[in-house]
Amino acid sequence: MNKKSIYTIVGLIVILTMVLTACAPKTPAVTQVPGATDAPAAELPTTFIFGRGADSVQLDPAIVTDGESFRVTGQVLEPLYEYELGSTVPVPALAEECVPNADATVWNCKLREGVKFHDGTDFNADAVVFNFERWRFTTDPYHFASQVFEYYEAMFGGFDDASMITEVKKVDDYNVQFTLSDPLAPFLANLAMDMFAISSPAAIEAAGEAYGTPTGGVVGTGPFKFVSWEEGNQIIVDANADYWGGAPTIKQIVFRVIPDDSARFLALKAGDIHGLEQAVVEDLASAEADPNLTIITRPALNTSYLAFNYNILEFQDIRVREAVAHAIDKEGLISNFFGKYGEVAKNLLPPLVWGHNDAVVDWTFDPALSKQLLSDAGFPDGLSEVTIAEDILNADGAVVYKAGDKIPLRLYYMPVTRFYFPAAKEVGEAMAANLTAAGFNVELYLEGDWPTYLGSRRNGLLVGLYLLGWGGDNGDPDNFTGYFFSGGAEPIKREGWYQNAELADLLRQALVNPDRAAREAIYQQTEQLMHDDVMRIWLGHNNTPLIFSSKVTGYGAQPVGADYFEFIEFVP
Amino acid sequence: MAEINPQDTEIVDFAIREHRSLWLDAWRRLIANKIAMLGLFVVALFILTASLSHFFWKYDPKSDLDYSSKLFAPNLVVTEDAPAVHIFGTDKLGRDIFRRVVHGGWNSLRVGLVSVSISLAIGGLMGLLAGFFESIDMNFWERVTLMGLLGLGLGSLSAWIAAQFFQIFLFSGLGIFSVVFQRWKAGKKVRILAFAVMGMLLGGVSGLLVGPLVGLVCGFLGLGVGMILARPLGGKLFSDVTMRIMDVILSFPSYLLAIAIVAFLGPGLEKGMIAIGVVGIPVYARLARSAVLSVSQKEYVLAAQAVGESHGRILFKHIVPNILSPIIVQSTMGLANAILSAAALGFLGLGAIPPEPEWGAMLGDSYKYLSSGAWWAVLFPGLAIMLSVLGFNLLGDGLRDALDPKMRI
Amino acid sequence: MGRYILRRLISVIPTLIGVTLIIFLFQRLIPGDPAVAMLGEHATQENVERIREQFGLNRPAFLDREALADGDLTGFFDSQYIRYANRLLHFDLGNSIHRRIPVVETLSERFPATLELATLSLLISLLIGLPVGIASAARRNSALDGVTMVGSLIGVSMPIFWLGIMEIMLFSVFLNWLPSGGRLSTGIVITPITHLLLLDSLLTGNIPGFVDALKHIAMPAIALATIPTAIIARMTRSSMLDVLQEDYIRTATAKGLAERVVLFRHALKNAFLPVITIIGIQAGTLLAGAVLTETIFSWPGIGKWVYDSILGRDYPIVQGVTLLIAIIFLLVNLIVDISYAILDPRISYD
Repeated sequence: MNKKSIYTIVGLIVILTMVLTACAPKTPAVTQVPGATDAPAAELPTTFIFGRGADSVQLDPAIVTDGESFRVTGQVLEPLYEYELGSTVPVPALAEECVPNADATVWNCKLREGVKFHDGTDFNADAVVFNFERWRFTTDPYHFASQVFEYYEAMFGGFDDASMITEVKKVDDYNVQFTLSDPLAPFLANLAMDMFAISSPAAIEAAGEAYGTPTGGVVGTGPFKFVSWEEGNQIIVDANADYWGGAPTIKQIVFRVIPDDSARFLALKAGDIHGLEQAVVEDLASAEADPNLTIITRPALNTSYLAFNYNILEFQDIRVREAVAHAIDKEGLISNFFGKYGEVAKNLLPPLVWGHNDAVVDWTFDPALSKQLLSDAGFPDGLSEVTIAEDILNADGAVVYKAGDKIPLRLYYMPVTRFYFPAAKEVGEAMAANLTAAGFNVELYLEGDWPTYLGSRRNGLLVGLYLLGWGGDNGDPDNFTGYFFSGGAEPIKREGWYQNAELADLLRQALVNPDRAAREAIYQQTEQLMHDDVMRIWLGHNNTPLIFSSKVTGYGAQPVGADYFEFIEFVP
Repeated sequence: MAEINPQDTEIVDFAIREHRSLWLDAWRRLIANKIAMLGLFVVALFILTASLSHFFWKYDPKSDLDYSSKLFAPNLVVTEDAPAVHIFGTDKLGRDIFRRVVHGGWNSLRVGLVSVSISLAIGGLMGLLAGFFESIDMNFWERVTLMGLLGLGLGSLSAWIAAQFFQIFLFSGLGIFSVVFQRWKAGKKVRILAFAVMGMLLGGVSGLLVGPLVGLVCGFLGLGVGMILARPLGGKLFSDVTMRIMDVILSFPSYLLAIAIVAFLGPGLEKGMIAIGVVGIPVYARLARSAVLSVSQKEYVLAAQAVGESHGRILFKHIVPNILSPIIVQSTMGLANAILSAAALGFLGLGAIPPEPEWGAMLGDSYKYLSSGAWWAVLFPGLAIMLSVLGFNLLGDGLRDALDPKMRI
Repeated sequence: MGRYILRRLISVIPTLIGVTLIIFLFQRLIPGDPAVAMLGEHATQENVERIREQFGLNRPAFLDREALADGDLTGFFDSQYIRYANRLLHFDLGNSIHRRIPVVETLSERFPATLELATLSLLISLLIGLPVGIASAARRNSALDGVTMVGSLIGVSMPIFWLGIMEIMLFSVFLNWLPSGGRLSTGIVITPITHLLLLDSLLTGNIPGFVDALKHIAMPAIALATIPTAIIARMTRSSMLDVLQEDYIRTATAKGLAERVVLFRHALKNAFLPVITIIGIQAGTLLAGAVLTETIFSWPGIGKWVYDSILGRDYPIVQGVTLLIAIIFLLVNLIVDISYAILDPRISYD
């Protein structure tokens, strides 16, 4: 090889290196803690590191729906009301109190005085009005077209003219008046939801559409201030020394993403993180035995279930549904896959939610009875094939299943793990074995990944038995039963074509009735009704376990809304 | 060393000793190779256990569930804690891992075989034709087919825009017409002009039936198609287009492409086979093409051409037998790769539908119990994957030495 | 030479167009809606429609023939693909559907992570594969050679995700020596210069940072390097064996030159050509193999990201990352071909 070609190679390498370094950004994309850039680890303040399965989607709470976003925004921003520690009862936060008029259509809220946003601007009536108008009016300059204010719409009936909040008026600097079009029984519970936390108007105006993104950040009044967000890796918030409720004892929280459950647990054991949510059942057992770890459970506000597609002829026979109910070993499923933190469900409403009906007597696990019932229904040799009752169309209007089509009996299982289903695939496999033993020759069916699964469910295309669940948003029973079945006068596509006019009627009555006791009675009645109809098989309520290093105390696990980190005491 | 090919070996062999075919020779070389025999043994072991157990050791994964024996460590003797022998331990649902590993072999090997067949059938054929027509001129009928298909392909865009599918047949006809009038003695410019006008009329007039703008756009497209069809295109074009498509497939990261295909087709073992098969196509196409290119300049091919043997005969009588050895070697190693890819898909939850046992899926399921120390649920399915893949690789390696001692990767 | 490079660069363009077309084809074919993926169990019809509208997902994928039939020429071209191509021409990869932040922004954080992992793996495989290959060729049929041949076959047969799991099992669960995932421990801060943590920590003289980064990258890099190491060792060996049979090597040995001189001065140079091809191919494989490795080791790179984005139907991310990988793949191929021309004077390209 001659010298010249060596130079050429060296040249090429240099060029390649330059190209590669050019690919990397010149400026640091991560906003670093000012001053902490080169500080050795020892000089850092008390930092609490929390491990979680996924990153936040966005930190503007008004436009997101995922728990991981609220976990962070809940520390930085506050709503007018919040949920009492460990319960679903709304208590004042940024508002000192909200008083309704006689028919609960006008609410006067007195705001807390002397509170400042992290950017130094004042929290006052103008800020409240600014936020509510941004959410309510699609024409508001900060109601960006790319943003979906999903929860405002769901909780207050819609935007603009459809909104149940018809006016938000500044009475004086620290008094705001809300006018509603109809009485809304759960108004305070709604206000306390994380999505309705108050952001600094100045920050929204400054950041525009980037508010809530890693570059835009987020500015509220909460006990912690947003510092930095390294996408897919970690979010850092610092203690707010001027917090109106008193400065937190820890100086910093790092929300660290470790997607894999077992890797997260290993990181906790190794001391890389100090707390985590969601772990495999086997790890929970070893955490219980480990003196360095403690387990806190989040009271269950969720229900997992097995649903029928009522567009299947065979499932329209209540005996077949009852046979399914008796075939499933709920105790076995819950104790093996939810661990001791799961409770067997016999209601849609978890025990924590008022309206839960404890008088309902659950179906027994009795495969012999299942076989008997199946035989009575005309399937002495078991059920392997089912018949489509009416044509089912997809989103484009094309017929996917024709009336009269015979298809194998399917059990659709979820392709992902959710907080209400800690081991969805294993539950599916075990349930299939239960059903097979009781004469249902089911075929486990994977519809596709999670978006496909949800999409098919929306269009009523999960033709068979399918697994799913629900996590409540605000602890009101309407948020459970009402969400599912209030449209039940017609077959509800999304809910497996279930139709029950009587149930729908009861739910509508319960929504507008301001009397809590009367509502409770109605919801208890609906539970019995759903049970008697064997409408769905409720499986479990999961008291999601959180594991902490034993050096951590005072973590406030919440059934609804973001957890409280401000009371944490932590000695590293 | 002189090139070995069937013709001269036969002559030489007759002269010196009794007839021995090339394949028999290769076989002798193979069994003399200890490493290859080890590979053959491993492969045979996996195939035998998988198929014997599939047919004679009934296993119904659907009803296999026993909470009382979940996550037992391997035990070879019956004790009080473990009332049954589980030489590989049990998994989360209390299923015997040994049994599932053995039955999983049936699925994994099937995936390997089917997906390699898919890649080989499509990729091999495309590479074969690409290499063949790149080195040997097309005859009249081949040209007609090529140009007809080209017209069909190019015309389909215009036909789709106008929603008139008869258009593609018009363009196809134009392509054939161009071959038939190949010897049209007009100058090159005139020919291109004539075809451009014809194309424009074919696209434009039928497009006009839908709307003026449609007519305009289709007319333009037709103009372009006509100009392309006017050229005397041949085998080189076919080869270029084929290989360019292969480049596109190759420049996708293979796992991502497979994942995307599975996302489209839906999960399942069969869909996985198709995905892995498609991803593997370019490898065989490239291999076949280069093998054909090196063989097609050999004297016996030139001679066959001179004698006037038909293209089909040259291809299958002279070329295919002589490129078989690299293809066989590649297929054996490809089997190994396909098993690996299938396991990767299964690991990501995109392979076999549970409770059907499949190695990759078993690994993916048990991986969660890693932190609780259930090493056996991860170790054995992984070992099965590795050993079977290793078996095919050893065999492939030995086959390479046996079939073509001069050839090395 | 210049003309050759130019010609090759131009010939990359149709391939890239093909790549973008196929990405779009898949986007069209794969069921499931980004809006549904984003909104989850709560998705309402109106919001799904709004997101589709916002990201142009309600437009036809390639061309809108109905608009044309109505006489609307701009509508005809107003398709998702043309919009995307137009943005690409302005070097804009668009915004993530879920997070609404520019893809480029996240890419610039995540790509260095993958680049660091892939580069280190390639280095490891070169540092082990090359010497081992040379040594076993020099001592053909020795014990070392046998170990190399069998070892490399085992390496090629290794399911890297399984190897990764076994590494975690051994080094993290049982021995507790190495962290099971991530790139850096919290609390360790490395001033970003190139975003390659190993390099940055060295440049800033941050030794604890370097050690911590090294501890994190060790297991994934070894897992990812296994297959390339095996392949490079095999390739080097067989290529060296070919060259060692050549006449000029025999001449050199006969002249009485030291074995070391013959091996490194005469043989290695010529044996290097096929090895370079393999290195080029492996560079592509490394980027692709990152999907699995990154999943297992919670490595915040592009492999895991693009996989999650396919599952979440976040198409701008899938498009951006796939295109980037394709470009790198094609560039590496180009560089391999050019280095051929430089190393082997017999190959000319004009």
